[in-house]
Amino acid sequence: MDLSFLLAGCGKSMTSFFAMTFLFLFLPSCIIIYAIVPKTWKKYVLLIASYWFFWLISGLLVIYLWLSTLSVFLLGLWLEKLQERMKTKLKALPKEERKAAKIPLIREQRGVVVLGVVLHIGFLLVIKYSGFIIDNVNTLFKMLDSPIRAGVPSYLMPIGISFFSLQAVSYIIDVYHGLVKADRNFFRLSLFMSFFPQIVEGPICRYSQTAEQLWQVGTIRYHNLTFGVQRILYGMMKKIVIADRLNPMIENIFDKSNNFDGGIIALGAICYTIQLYMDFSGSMDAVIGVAEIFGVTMPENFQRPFFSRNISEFWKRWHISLGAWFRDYIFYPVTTAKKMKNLTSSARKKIGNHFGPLLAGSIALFCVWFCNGLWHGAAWSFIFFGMYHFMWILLENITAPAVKWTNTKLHINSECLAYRIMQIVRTALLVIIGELFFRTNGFQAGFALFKRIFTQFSFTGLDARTLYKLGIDWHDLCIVGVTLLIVFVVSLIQEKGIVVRDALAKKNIAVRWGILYALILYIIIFGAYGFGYIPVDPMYAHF
Amino acid sequence: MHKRVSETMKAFIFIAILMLLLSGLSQIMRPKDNKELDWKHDQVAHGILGEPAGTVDVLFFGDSEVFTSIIPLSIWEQQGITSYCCGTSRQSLWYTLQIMIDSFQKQNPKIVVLETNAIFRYFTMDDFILHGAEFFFSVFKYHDRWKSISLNDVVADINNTYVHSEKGFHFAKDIDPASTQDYMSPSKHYAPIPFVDQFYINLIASFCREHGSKLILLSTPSTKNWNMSRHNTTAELAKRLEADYVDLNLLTDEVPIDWSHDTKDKGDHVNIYGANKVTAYVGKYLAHTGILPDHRNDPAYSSWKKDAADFRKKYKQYLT
Amino acid sequence: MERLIEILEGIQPDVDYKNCTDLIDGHRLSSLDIISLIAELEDEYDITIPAVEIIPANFNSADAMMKMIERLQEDL
Repeated sequence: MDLSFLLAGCGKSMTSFFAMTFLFLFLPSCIIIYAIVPKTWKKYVLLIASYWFFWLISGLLVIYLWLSTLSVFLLGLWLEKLQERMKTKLKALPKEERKAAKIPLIREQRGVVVLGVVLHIGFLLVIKYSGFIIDNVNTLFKMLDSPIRAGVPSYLMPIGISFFSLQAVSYIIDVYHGLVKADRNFFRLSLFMSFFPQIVEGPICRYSQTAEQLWQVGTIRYHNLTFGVQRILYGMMKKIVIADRLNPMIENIFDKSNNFDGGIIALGAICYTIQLYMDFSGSMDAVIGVAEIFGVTMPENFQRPFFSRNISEFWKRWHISLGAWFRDYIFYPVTTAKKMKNLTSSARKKIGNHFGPLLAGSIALFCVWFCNGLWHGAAWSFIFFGMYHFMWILLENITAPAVKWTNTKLHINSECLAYRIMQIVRTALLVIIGELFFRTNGFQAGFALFKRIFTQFSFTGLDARTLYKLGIDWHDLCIVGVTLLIVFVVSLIQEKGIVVRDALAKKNIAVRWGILYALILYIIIFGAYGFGYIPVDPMYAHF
Repeated sequence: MHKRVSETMKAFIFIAILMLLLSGLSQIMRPKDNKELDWKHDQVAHGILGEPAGTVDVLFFGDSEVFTSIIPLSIWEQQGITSYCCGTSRQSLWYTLQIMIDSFQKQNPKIVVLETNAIFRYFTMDDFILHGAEFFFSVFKYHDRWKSISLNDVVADINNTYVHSEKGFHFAKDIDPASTQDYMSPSKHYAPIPFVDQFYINLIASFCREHGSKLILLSTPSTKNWNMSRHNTTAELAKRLEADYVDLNLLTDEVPIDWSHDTKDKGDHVNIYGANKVTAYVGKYLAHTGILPDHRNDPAYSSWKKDAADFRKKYKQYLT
Repeated sequence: MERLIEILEGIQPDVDYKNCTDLIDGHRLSSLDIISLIAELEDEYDITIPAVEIIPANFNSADAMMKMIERLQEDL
């Protein structure tokens, strides 16, 4: 029998956690094997499953992941050795001399960290961005009338590299700062780096968040299994019923945009934002759900971002693990660098509490958003996307005192419902405009579309012809609307601080099962899959 | 331990109820009349469901190769054999088996002909699982019908009223010549059949065997889709399945395709001129098996006579 | 402790620092406030606060901050 199918092809579709192969073949076999082996082997089952999974979706590129893990493993041990040597050396010295003696030793350790960071980020730069950089250099040469052109290399990029590289870097830095001990167990570190639910789309975990948990996994508990399955189903509803159903329409608007007027483009931008949110957060529900089955608690990556009152809050609630990574490893290190601190202190004395730290903060913020834009992809439109959000956050920071002053003078209660709703709507609008640029191919195309919203705005309504051209019908729009309403109501309840799942778990079995059956059948009937549908790749898998 | 048992019991009950719900839903979602099928669900091929029970003796399956090259009504005219072409665009073997099972509800053909291009069509593991589930619960296949569901779907029985008077044939008269360079040049190589297809071809063969239908593998002429390495594999497969194998690509004397004239798209498919030649040979071949009755003088088949006459009138100048 | 509260009030006066335990989680101190705070604390207590110490657990209450400061002072 030809078993090649086990290795090739089927893996490609598995990048989606809602792929049949993953849900009905890979995951169940993992769970069964995991359940029958003795407790001490379970973690190894997860490790093997993780590498197997990565092999299925990326083939030989799995070597990247392995090398990455090996390098941080060795660097971690090296750092630990240096740290221990420093400790013994310093102990031998009298207290007064310690501080001075520490400096060169710390510098040594810092060298190791820099090596690790350069290795990983540099590698990421080379395979993800070299094409983009060289393209731009060539354009520059062309503008300078120079005949020199550099060849554009192309590398095979393993899926998930943007995610696991950041985990590797965070581990090394955390070891350096003594937040975690260097891991002496290569397998544990490997599992932390490769755990299969998170390898494709994150969340980007810290060593202290998941490594130990993953290594301590035990028997599958009934409660975890049901809760995990529930969570996967909820994510599946978001992805298959909403995101995938909107997909043909969004492709028609953005990829064949010439023939639609401003109203449709505005609708397209809104729908794209919805699609992105449902796709990404739905996938995260699946990731967290799968981890939950094995008894592992993953950090949440979304916290109902569309209830945010300003852009900076939005980014604390959308793709949380990426924002946190940038905050911890770029924002604070930049602002707490010596020169920046001096800048802050002196600026505070001159221009006061609010604007004092703003200067250093803004420089750091710029770095964060430049990196954030680039992280999403090697293109100017992504850099613009980053700068767009940087600009709004900066503006919010600058105007905060003025807004507060105005509100006090005009006796506006900034906590009243109307004011909050206004803020929420404004934030959502700004995000939607940002996503419009994010979706289009290149900045110019984005701007052309954006312009058309205002210059050619004529929303005549969705007549049958327009809908046909959009590749969607009223039934689709209705079911998307209803499903969004479900998600909205659930979010609203969560926003009130109620844990919906715990509340449901207290109900009697008829209600619980009823809800579960309803959810399953809802997905089966209203999902956009099967005949006439083309499967949609998860949107964040390629970042 | 007691907790374990009760939890396992609960899981089983949960799944059992789910199965019941799914089969109930499948009853509702299944189309009650093949005239409601849309392009997505290949109405023309499903016209077979509207044919009176037990009247069709030969069924053709396969992808577009088969519905462009076999003219059932010409076979009727020449040999009096009733046949229907259940070919669909890019048909995969899982779909072949689905239509086969559906059409066998009312028909019990003596011969099943499978065009061999479909055997090499790769489909993903995802398709394998999803379409596998469709065999058990048709709600997975017809779930999109929620858009047009009515009370009738809940209460009515299945009653297929749509028939395709040209019996599944797709007419094409365009001419776009093909190059015959390397076409069927000798090879010792064996083209691999994807695992998923191997699985299904076995199912199809045993389904035919169970229903007493003779399976014939047929390779229609195509410079683009057919070559010697595929021929080699198929010949071996036919031997294993104990099926007949006819490769028209090699029978250049019997089926003299003129590749500068008889193809509509550079050798991918034949046009009506090529179809005439293919059908003439296939008709004779079928008659030669000696197990198919000539229905031309049977008054019960008068509708075939009429359909054939209409067909000839419509495409007079193209038919031989 | 008194001095710490003074510093905090100098940065953001509208909070009851003696009792509040969710300065970060409750969004009472913004990231800009934190930047100022770090600079002030480092000057005042002659310590270096590495970026990794900037976590909610260390900044959620005045008590927690004091503990962190003492730890960093000892830690050499």
